[in-house]
Formats: sequence, C-alpha cells, structure tokens
Amino acid sequence: MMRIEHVRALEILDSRGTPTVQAQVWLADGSCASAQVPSGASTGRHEAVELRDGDLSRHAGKGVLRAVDNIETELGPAVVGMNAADQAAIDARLIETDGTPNKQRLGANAVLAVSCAVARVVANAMEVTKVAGGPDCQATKLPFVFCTRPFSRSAQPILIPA
Amino acid sequence: MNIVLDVAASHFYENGRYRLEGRELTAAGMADYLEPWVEKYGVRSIEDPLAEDDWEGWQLLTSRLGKQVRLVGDDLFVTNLARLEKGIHQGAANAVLVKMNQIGTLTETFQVIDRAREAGFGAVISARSGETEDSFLADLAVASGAGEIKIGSITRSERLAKYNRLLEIEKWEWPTSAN
Repeated sequence: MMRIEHVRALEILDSRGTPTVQAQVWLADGSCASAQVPSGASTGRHEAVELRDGDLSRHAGKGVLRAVDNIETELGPAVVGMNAADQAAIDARLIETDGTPNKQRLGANAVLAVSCAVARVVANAMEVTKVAGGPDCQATKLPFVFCTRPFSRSAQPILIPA
Repeated sequence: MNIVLDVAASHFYENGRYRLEGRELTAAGMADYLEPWVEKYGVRSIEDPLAEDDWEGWQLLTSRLGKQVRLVGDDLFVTNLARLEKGIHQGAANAVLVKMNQIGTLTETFQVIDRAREAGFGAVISARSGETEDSFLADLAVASGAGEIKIGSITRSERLAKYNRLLEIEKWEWPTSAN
C-alpha cells in the first residue's frame, strides 16, 4: 500500500503571469511528487468552477490562496492515510469532500492539483515515469499546431473565401 | 498536414442566431457556411462549430457533416460525462475535447475518454491558454491512447514542455518496444 502521508500546496504563476495552484503529495516512504494545474481564458459555461480569491489587493483578484488553503486544510487531510495507488477512491474522496456538483466549494483547481499529484507520485513510486500506459502504448500524437491567433485576441480578422 | 478549425461559436451566439461578419445565421446557415470549406481546404476537424447549448443545431450539423469531418465538442461537452452522454444519444458531435480542469479529477477525465472511445467518438487531449511547465498532459495523452493532442504552436516553454515530454516518452520510457 502506498500510504499518503502529507499534502501541501502553494500559489505559483502560469504562462500569463496569473496565479495557479501547485499541490505536492508525500507518501509514507518519503517519495513525493507535485502537479500544477492550467487555467482557461475562454471557458465554457458548464465547466467545473475555478476558485479565485477575488481579493483585489492581490493579482487583480485572481489569487488562488483560498484554493491553496482548501488543499492544506480539507482536501489534503481527507486523503492522508489512503492508498495513493487507488486513484478512483482518491478522486471519489476529493469529490465527496468538496460536496458540490461543479467543485465550486473548494475549487476544481484545488481538486485537480491533488488528483494529478497523487497520480504522479504513484507513477514515480512504481518506477515508471509515465502516469499509465504500457510497453505497447504509442506515444506519437497528431499535434494540433495553432497557425492564427483567436479572432477575439487579434487586431486583424482573417477573411476566408467561401 | 490538414487544416483544423476552432470556431468557438459560443462567443458569437445570441438569441438563437450566430452573428458573424454582419450576418445572422441559424445553425443550418452555419452548416452552409462551413460545409464548402471541408472540401475546398481539406478541413479535417472543426471544434465548437456551434454554441455550447445549441443541441438541436449540433444534431443537424453532425448529420450533415459528421461523416466527412471530425466535429469536436469543447464548450459543448466541457469534459463532462453527463453532457458527453447526451451528445452520444442525440448524435451531436463525433469527438470530445478533453481538458482536465474542466472537470477536476483524473478519474472523471478517464471516464470521459473511455466513454468516447466506446461510442466511437474521437478524443483530443487539450491544453489551456494559461499553462505551466507541467507536462502531465503528454502523459495523459499517451496513457489514454487518444490519437490527438492540442497544445499550441511549437514556441514557448510551457508548450514545449509537453512536446518534449512526448518525445521523451517515445524515445526512452519503453526501450523494449523500440521495434
């Protein structure tokens, strides 16, 4: 059993200089791993809720200290003692601890950071460096490479002849 | 190489109409607008061609274009199993864009990818516009067996972290599978 010993979190910055969440998970054997969550600019209305502080004195209200605090005081303690290798049970506990359908109470950013950090610490402990897969999995992906900027963020529209 | 589009139609949808270039189009009008591009420009995939709650429009568009082109639901599905289920049952879209932070746990993300595969839907693993040096996404794409990944241009380290992780996995992780 890979017992979760300790979970910590901190506020870091994303590629736009906007705060986001990093969580770090330690197992009983001393191994640890962290995960950082991304953040969308154009978000769908039905997405899980990203928790932001709304404190205008820091990062124009976009701080994530509440999400960080939620990991350290609620989500982390909820999974300490659990078997990190049982990702489904860990995630079910995280969802239950939040208690809302869209993770608005503790923040999807807080929940996801813990979920991913747990997966990674297990991958490390199993001495594989990938999250899952196996010897036959195919790493080559068809990449989508952006050629133009979104219209909403560009000065000139691109006209496409019909 | 193929052209893929992200129309982000929720952004110009108002009162049941798509407001575009001074015109107001219905979902059928959007289908008329997009259809010629598929052949003319060899468009392989169109993401969010219609708005996030225009289920009827998505059904219509999918019945018209779904055999020729991949129709990817991002705002439509938001990596949410219940919404994907609705799309599968209604014949709305034929692929799902997967963003872990739209749903919030790894388990729920895998449920969406697995259900998509089972229903014959495609799954495209996607980054967000605010990213970090974390390359978890590349592992997710490999582990889930998804065929496509949407990270962005091959510039800037928060994106290259993912591309480089894919290269690393392919080259080093499983040397026994090198053949």
